Amino acid sequence: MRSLFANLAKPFTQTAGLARWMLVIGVLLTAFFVVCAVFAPWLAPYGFAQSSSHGTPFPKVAPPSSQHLFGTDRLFFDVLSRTIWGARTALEVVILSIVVCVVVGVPLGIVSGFYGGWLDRILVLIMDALYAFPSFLLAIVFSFLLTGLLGGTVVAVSLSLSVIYVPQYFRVVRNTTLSAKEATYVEAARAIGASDLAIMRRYLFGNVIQSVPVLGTLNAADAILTLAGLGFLGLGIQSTDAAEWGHDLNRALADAGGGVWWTGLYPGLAIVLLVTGLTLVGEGLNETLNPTLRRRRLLPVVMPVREPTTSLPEEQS
Amino acid sequence: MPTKPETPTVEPALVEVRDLSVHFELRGGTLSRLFGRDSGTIKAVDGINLALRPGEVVGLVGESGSGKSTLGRALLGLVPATAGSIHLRDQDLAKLGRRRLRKIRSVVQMVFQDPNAALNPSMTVEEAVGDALRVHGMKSPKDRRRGVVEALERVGLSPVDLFLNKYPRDLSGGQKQRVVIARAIVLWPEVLVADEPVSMLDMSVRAKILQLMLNLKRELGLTFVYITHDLATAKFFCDRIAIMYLGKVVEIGPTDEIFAHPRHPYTKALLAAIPEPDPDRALPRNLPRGEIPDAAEPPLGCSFHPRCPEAVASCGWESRDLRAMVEQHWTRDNTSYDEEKALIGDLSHLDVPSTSARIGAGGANGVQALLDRIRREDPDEPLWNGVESIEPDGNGVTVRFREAGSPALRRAGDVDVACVLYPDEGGADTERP
Amino acid sequence: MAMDLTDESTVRPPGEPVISARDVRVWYGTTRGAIRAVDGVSFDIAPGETLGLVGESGCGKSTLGRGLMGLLPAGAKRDGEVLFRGQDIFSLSSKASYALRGSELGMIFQEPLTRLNPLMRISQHFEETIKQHEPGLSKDEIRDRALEVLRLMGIPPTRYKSYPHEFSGGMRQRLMIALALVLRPAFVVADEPTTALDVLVEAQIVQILNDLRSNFSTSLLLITHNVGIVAEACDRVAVMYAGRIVEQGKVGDVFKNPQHPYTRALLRSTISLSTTGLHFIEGAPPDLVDPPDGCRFHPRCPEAMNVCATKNPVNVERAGGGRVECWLAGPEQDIPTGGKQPLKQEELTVADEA
Repeated sequence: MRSLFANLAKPFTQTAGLARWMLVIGVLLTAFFVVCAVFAPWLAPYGFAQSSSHGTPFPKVAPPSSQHLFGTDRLFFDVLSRTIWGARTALEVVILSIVVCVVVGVPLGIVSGFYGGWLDRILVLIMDALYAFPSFLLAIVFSFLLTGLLGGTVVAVSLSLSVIYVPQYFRVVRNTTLSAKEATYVEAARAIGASDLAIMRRYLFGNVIQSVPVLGTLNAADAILTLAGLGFLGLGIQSTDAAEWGHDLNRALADAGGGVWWTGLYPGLAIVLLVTGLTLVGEGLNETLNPTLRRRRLLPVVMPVREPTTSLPEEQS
Repeated sequence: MPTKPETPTVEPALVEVRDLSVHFELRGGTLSRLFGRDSGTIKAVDGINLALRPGEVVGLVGESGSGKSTLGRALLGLVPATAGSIHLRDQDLAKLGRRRLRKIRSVVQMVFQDPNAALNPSMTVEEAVGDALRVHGMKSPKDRRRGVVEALERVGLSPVDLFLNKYPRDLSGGQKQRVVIARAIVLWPEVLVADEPVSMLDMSVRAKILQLMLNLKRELGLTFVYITHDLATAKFFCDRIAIMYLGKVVEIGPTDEIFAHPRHPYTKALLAAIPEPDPDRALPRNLPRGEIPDAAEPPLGCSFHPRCPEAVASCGWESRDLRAMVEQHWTRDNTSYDEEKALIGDLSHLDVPSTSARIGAGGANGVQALLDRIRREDPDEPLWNGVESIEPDGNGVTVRFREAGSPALRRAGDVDVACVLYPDEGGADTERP
Repeated sequence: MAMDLTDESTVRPPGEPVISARDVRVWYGTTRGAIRAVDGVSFDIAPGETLGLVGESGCGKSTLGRGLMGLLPAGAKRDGEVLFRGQDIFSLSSKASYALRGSELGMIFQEPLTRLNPLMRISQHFEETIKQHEPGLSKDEIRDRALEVLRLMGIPPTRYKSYPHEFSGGMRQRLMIALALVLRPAFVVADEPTTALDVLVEAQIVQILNDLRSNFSTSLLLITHNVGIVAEACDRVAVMYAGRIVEQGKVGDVFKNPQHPYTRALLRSTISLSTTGLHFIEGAPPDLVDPPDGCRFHPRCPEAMNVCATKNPVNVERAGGGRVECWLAGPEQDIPTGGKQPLKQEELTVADEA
């Protein structure tokens, strides 16, 4: 248990200066939104699709007041509640999509890197093709396809996001595997008679996934943006299914002309803050986990004053 | 098969290697493949015969490129054999499929050179050593632990509890090598291939690990194949030594005989070159020149001849030796380098091996005179013995060398040596099972 | 025969050392504290002399070599005094020491391939090196100088336009040596020059280093863990342990009459053709962040006395010339009463092994 805490604390204890501050701020920001997401039912004053309370309908596009701290929008929804519930949606979608990415991308990467040959070539071709497409475009296409199949649910949107990010995990893990499988300890594993599966599971897996956490957090940041973008275009999750910041921004666009600022500011701010937080965590982790970037906190060297020894007699060769 | 008259009952060999070859294809660049050029083959192991008797320690000694490591790995099936056979009792390892090969790996095991690289950094000592058991079907963690504890105690890592949960990064070099040995013996193998097991350890620890291996050999009745470039440790450890050069065995025999009466010039050179911590000993002067040649294009005839201080006419002289000799002349005396270079012309075509070489661009007489001058400078240069004729040819001369084949192993006293200096004492293949 | 490439200005009056190091310390900063890699080292090297610096891994010999050249990583601090021809090179500005490096102070590294630019021909390497320090030379003069030093290294002039990867390992090391010597430095540090080479090539390179003294009159600091090479190629030897030089003197003398228990143990544990038994040293070198009190070797020393665990041994002159740092060699008056009693030691087990 102790070692687990020690490992978790490593990013904090082993970095200094800028890297450490990045990590701390990032973690705080992200934690804030995680708390919003988890405790949404208790934190939000109203439901995300609630347009009335105790029989009284909410005012339409009302500025912030004591009852609606962030105001209301044109659909009679409370902006504060929508923002808080939006955190839940965002995190649900993003976590699901990253999990799918890891579950699909990492094993494929290991298998592809380990065996090479035609399997590797086909997979690399597919992954490169996916990666080459403009990601947003790809997300839109898959979002259409999957919402057609599965409806406008969280799962459908998550999967369409996964499609964009899987190639990155595949690539990173495959490349690390290519070099790791040449290591002597892998040859030693073969020498003791380990099967290919055993080698991949016990000898390669733990040693090739170091880049995945950083990749995951940076992807999460990007995913939030892509999700918001999809929502902005009216694709994916609908307002009545869940609160989604991008979708709200879409509706806020028209309001902006009329001097209504609160419907756009808060969801927008939420997006910016969460993305920034995740990015900072990702970059901070990168500084820690990537040995080349890491600048360790070297304690300054203090030498005691030199006491000169008696000079040596000259040596003749 | 010819038998030695006075041999007492000879035990059947545990492992018998016959005509083993391991060739690696060089994948040339796309461009050269486009133009249909042969990309070349590296004959890492080229026709080796070796027999391991139970309980003996056979040393494979050689420098880089000698094929000793490849041969060691072939014994475990870690590299595929291109030709020949490796018989472990009645099974030919060279022909086994992957699944059956994996089972063999409980009988033949390996100790690796670099203790820092041979252990999985994300496995504890218990996991690493226990994995050998797990892989061969021992499912119960309790049984595995028992096996691991016994192996660790045998290699001297006690108290065992101190080491079970450590990761490789927490251990010193000597301790890591002990773990590697423990992993190799936990399945109670019969043959242990040790690939330079102590060369990456400090001097003060080497003796400890060597002593450990000697003890294990005695206690567990192991047969060892000890691969090294260091003849001094081989002398200590081995019963028989095979000296290897560019994929072939050049000398093989009992340790005492090899050290007392080295026969092959390469063996003599290796012995002379070992640094001795004895300041009274003068530096060896008659060292072979040059370096280990490119394994993809080994020298014609005897692979060692370009470097051999005792080479004779029939060693396989060729065009590349001519180039080396001319360049050697220029390292001795480059006062007239520019004129001589103009006379000789470009030498790079001599890199294509052939027994007939044309050199010169400035007139046949001038080139002949230069060659004569080079010969006068160093009349002992063995290359001249191998020259059959030098004829004028246009602007230069054509030098023709005697054809020669690669010498086979032949008996000389108690050892087998592959050198034309030792006449064939009758009897073909010499590795007795 | 061999061309003497030294000019008058490099020849010092006989008797004055080329390098005079006093109390050199190099400490690395880490997250745990300072690693005292080199902790008070003093030696002299005379002109044309080869000093072998020998020790096992972690003793600080490579750090000392780099420290002398000023090639230390960030976070390392050095202290002490190193007089090169009367000038303290530790207190020079970085510009001045940059000028010295290459022309007066040369370095030969262990792995030549990583030190040569794969995109530059050999000729370009030489041109760059020579032009850095002697900008007035014409291209032909540079070429002549380079070819001459290459010739002395056994590299034919036909290879002058080749790339580094076209050379074999031993030739590359000769190339490295040629590059280091082309400016005729007075002092060269060779850091494990033969460790990555095969035995026969190693012997060739040792021969070259041996001939350096007569051909070039260069002083050489040869850093190695191979005791045999030191015996063959060096005039004097300094044995290093845990950041300090425990014994130094003429090679013949130190090897025949080693006076420090570590030197004795090291020589005994070296396996050579004449070895009859396997010997090793128990235990492992100490943690350099917090070295043991007193003599650093005492936990592993079979002849340790009580004083060894409390007081640092004094650097005294040894019988036969040279220096040794060991209470067994005195000085008697500094040893308190009872100090000479054998030290009760904990037995060293495999857990303490190196």
